[in-house]
Amino acid sequence: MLADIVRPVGLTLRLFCRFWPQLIALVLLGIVAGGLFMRLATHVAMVNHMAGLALLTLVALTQLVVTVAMFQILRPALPAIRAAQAAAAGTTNGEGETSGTARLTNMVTIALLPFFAYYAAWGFLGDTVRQYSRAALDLAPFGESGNVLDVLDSRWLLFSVAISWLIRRVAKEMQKRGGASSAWQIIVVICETNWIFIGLYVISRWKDSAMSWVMSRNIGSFFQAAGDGMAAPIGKAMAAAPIVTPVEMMPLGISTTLINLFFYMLMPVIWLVMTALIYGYNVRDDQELMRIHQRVERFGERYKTIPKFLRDFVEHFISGYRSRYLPIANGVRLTLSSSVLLVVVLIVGYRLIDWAAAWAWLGATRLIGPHDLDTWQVIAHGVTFLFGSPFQDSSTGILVEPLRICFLAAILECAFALPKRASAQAVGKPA
Amino acid sequence: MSIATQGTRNERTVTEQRWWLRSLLALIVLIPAALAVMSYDSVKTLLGNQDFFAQDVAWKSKARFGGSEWQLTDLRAALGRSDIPPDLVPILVDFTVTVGEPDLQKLWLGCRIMLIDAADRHWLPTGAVSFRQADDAKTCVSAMFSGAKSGDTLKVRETFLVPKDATATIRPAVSVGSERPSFLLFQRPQD
Repeated sequence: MLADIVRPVGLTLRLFCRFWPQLIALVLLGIVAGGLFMRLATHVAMVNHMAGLALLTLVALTQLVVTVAMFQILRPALPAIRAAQAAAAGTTNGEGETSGTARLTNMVTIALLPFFAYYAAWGFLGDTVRQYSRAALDLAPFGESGNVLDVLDSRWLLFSVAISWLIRRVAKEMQKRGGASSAWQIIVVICETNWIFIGLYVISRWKDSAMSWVMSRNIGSFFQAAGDGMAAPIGKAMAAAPIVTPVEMMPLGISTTLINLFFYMLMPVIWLVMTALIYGYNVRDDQELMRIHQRVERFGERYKTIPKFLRDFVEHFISGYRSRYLPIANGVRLTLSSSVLLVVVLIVGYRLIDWAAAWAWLGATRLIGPHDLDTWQVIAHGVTFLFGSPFQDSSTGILVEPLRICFLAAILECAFALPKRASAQAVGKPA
Repeated sequence: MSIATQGTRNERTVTEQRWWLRSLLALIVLIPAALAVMSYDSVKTLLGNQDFFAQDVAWKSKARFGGSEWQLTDLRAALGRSDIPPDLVPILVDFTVTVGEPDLQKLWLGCRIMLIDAADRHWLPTGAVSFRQADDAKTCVSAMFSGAKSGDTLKVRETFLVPKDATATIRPAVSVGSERPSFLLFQRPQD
């Protein structure tokens, strides 16, 4: 059992020692490119709000590309993952026929939607948009004409999405004619990023409006009261007790604690799924997916009995999505079916890295001591540069982010190298 | 031995070694570049708000600063006030400013007149004590909004409260937004 815990930790350190210059260089490139794109987006937004917003998508895309590239760099040191990819691709040497850039764009394409969903769900999308909006306000004299987000409520938004769709279509056509050129693939990715980014942000705004509309009705307050009652029965009971307890001393309800714990544990698991997704881009073996459960396997067999012309008709519509998002299903399956101990190591280790980074940040600030606000703003950038920001996103810390990526890759490598999975593969292979 | 353990013991390829070295060298450029991109705005604000580089001005001489000519005309202690604690001394500093460029509201933005002692302690003007003004002296901020034109001469006076032990070494200093992080540091009157 101890060996199971030590193995991913040891592998993390070995990966870090072997690849640290490449990983740190990539994080730095991400910081430089992200900062420059943000600056460019705000300056362009002063001329045209829509163009500024379109450029802003590149900030989020940069972060994704850097993350994917970091995982890609670690790949040579992950033999179990390479073996699984090779087995799925039907090659023996573990290397596909695609070039490095094409492989990277493929990985980015696959990770695009889930990454942005995560990015939006954890509030990073809102952070990026807020940062952009503040930078634009700073540029506009006295904040006049600085509301660059007004385009999100205008019909020009649809126009922008339509332009992206047209460019994407042209790029797809050119890709078909001129072979698998990665330049066209990159254009397709940027266009897709554009509408996913804008779409998710608009949906999040509409969701708020819809929720406030529902809550403003009588039925809304009924549901809220019912929800509160169910969510915190102990808290309610204590509040009703005759001893007056200050509200800040009230213990959290057990359900609230459990929900908080769930989300605390969810983030590392989501990142493992994302890692599996990035590495599993060519693990597109339907058979492997079908083995999840007997019912799914039976469903697959029944699907094959459908007449071929009908199957072709269905395939016409779903094949693109199936080939792209089958790895998601595989990633989820892999995460859930790996050993419980490994998942525990993942959650504890991931959170330990975050915790240590936050304490390193705090320790550094204590060491530096008090200064005036302007000086501290500059020093804080230096500390955040090393350890990331405990208040925002820790992915800018040049010491933390490479370690986090190595840890995730090490966990996945250990999951792929589990004897259970190896034996399942051996059974699955034809004699 | 598990596959995971074998993995990192694989020999590094020549390409990997080459990229390792290239990345290491790239760090020399990327670290300052990333720091610059991250902290550009904060450094700009810091330089725009702080006084780092002193320009020494000799007694009785003038210095061009913020579009105007500045001259220290007096630095004196105002003794004899019974309402001030005995360990504090009120100090009056007088400047004569000949306006050059008249856009004072822009050029003198964030105007700051200070006293600096030998231990690099700074004092800003106080509103805790006031003296009857016999002449038409203005404070730095009121001079900004006086509507002075090019060629006009302004009397600028500020009042300070400093500890008695600092009075032997204090020197007046002037800093304005258009010149920061540089500031004028005047020599004490010689007589």
